[in-house]
Amino acid sequence: MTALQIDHLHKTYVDGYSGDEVVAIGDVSFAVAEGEFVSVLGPSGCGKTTVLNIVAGFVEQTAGTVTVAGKPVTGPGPDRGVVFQNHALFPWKTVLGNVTFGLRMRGVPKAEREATAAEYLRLVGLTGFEHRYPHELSGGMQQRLGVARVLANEPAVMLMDEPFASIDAQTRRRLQEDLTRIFQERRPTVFFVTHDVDEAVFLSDRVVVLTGRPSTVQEIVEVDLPRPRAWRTTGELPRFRALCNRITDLLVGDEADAVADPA
Amino acid sequence: MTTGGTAVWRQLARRPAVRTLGPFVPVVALWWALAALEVFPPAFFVGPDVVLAELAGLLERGILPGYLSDSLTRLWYGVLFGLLIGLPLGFLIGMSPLARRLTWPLLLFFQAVADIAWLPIVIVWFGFSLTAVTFVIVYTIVFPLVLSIVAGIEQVPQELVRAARSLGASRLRIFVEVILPGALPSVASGVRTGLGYGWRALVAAEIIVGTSGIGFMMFDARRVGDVAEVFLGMIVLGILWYALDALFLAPFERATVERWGLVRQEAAR
Repeated sequence: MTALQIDHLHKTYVDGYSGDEVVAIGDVSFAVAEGEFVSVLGPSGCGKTTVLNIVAGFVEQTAGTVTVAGKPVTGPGPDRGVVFQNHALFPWKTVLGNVTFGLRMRGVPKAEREATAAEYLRLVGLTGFEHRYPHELSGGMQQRLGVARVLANEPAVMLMDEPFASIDAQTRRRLQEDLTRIFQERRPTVFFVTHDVDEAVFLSDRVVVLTGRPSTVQEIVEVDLPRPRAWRTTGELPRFRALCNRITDLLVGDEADAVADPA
Repeated sequence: MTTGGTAVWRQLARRPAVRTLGPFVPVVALWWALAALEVFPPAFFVGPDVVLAELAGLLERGILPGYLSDSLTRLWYGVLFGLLIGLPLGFLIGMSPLARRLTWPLLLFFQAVADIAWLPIVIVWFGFSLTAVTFVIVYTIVFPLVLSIVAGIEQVPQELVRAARSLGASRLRIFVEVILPGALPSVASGVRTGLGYGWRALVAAEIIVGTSGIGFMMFDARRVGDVAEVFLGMIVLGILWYALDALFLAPFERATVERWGLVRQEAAR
C-alpha cells in the first residue's frame, strides 16, 4: 500500500532580489510504501527541503501532485507530522505538553492522551522527564522529543528535515541508532531528508538521489542491508560501504557534470 | 581578605534585603555626606535626616497617604483601560495584515505626538479631572504596548506555527497555543515600557493638571520652597515603581518567559 505518492513535482519561484524565475524542482516523482523508510539525498541547494515542505503543505508546488494515503495534499495536516532540524518544540510546554499537543488538538480524551504519551516517551527514552521544559533538555533529547511528538500523533507519514544536522557527531550516531530501533519497533512510514550519505544508507530502505538544481530524480538506490542495524555491525559491512560509495559517486558525478556543463 | 570573610560576604549578599538595599547604601552615604559638608546651600539641598523628618510630618498629617492613594488610583484606571485597549488592539493589528496596513501610519503618527502634548486639549475637553489624567496615561500605555505586541507576534518562529499546523491545530488553537505565549516576552516588555511611560505621564500630568497626587505635591512644595518635600516626592516615586516591579511584573516574568527559557534569567536575582 502506498503511503506517499509524488508525481511530476515542479516548483519555480521568483527570486526576490533579481526578479528572475528560478526552477527549484525540475521534475520529481517517487513513492513511499506504508512502513517504508525512504531518504531523499542530494547536493546542497538541490531543493530536497523544498520537496519536504511541499509534502508537508507548507509550500505550494507549481505543478505536479502529492498524495498521502490516497488524498491529495492541499495544506499542512496531522497526517504528515514534521520533525524539524531545529526541533521546533514549544518552549512554553513541558515535555508532556509537547508530546500530547497533537492528540489534544484532535480532541483525544486526557486519560488516553497520557497513556499514549507515556508509551512514546518510553519509546524515545524520555520517561521521567515529563515535567521538564525543552530548554532543560540536551540537543539529542530535544530531537527525540521531536520524534515522539510526531509519532504520538500517529501520522500516515513522518517527515524528517535533516533532523540530526545540528547535533554533534557522537550524539548524532546514537540518535541514528535510536531512530532505526524505533523504526524497527513501530514501522512508521518515514520520509527523511539529508545530505549525509552514510546516514541515508544506514537508516533507509531506499535512497532517492536527486540531481543538482533544478532537481530531478537521478536514481533510486535499494538498500538491501539486514535489520536491525547498528553502527558497530551494519557500518562494518562491505555492502554498506559499497552502497555509500555508489551514492557518493552519483553525487560527485552529478557535480562533475555540472562543472563541465554550467548551463 | 580571608576566605572566611569572603564566605560571610557571600552569605550576606544572598539575602534579598541586602541585595535590594545594598546598592543604595553608597548613594545614601554620598547624599548624606554632601548635605553634611554643605557642598550646596541647605536651602537647595537637604540631607536624608531632613527628608525623613519631612516624611514623618506628612504621614502624621495624612497628606502623603492621601496623595499617594490619589496617584495610585489614577495609575490604576490608566493602566486598566490602557491594557484593555492596548492588548486586543495589539493582537488584532499583529494578526491581521489588513488591520496593520490600515492602522500603521496612524500608529506612528499618534505615537509621535507626545503624551504631554495632549494635555492642553485634554484639559479643554475634560477639565482638571481624573478623566484628563487617565486619558493621558491610557494614551502613553497603548502605543508602546501595541508596537511591542506586533513586534512580538512577528518574532514567533515560523517553524513553531508550522509544527502546530502539522500536528492538527486550527487557526484559533495556533493563536492560543503558539502565538500568544510566543509573543509573551515582547508583551511583557511592552507592558513594562508602557507602565513606565504611564507612570511618568502621571507625574507630569499631576504637575500640570494638579489638584492632588505625588506630582502635585512636589510641584506645590517647589512653589513654597520646601526642598525636603520635593526630595521626598522623588524618593516615593522611585520606591513605588520598584514595588510595582517587584510585586507584579517580575513574578509574572519569572513564572512565564524565564521559566520557559525564552529570556535569560536575570543574574541579579
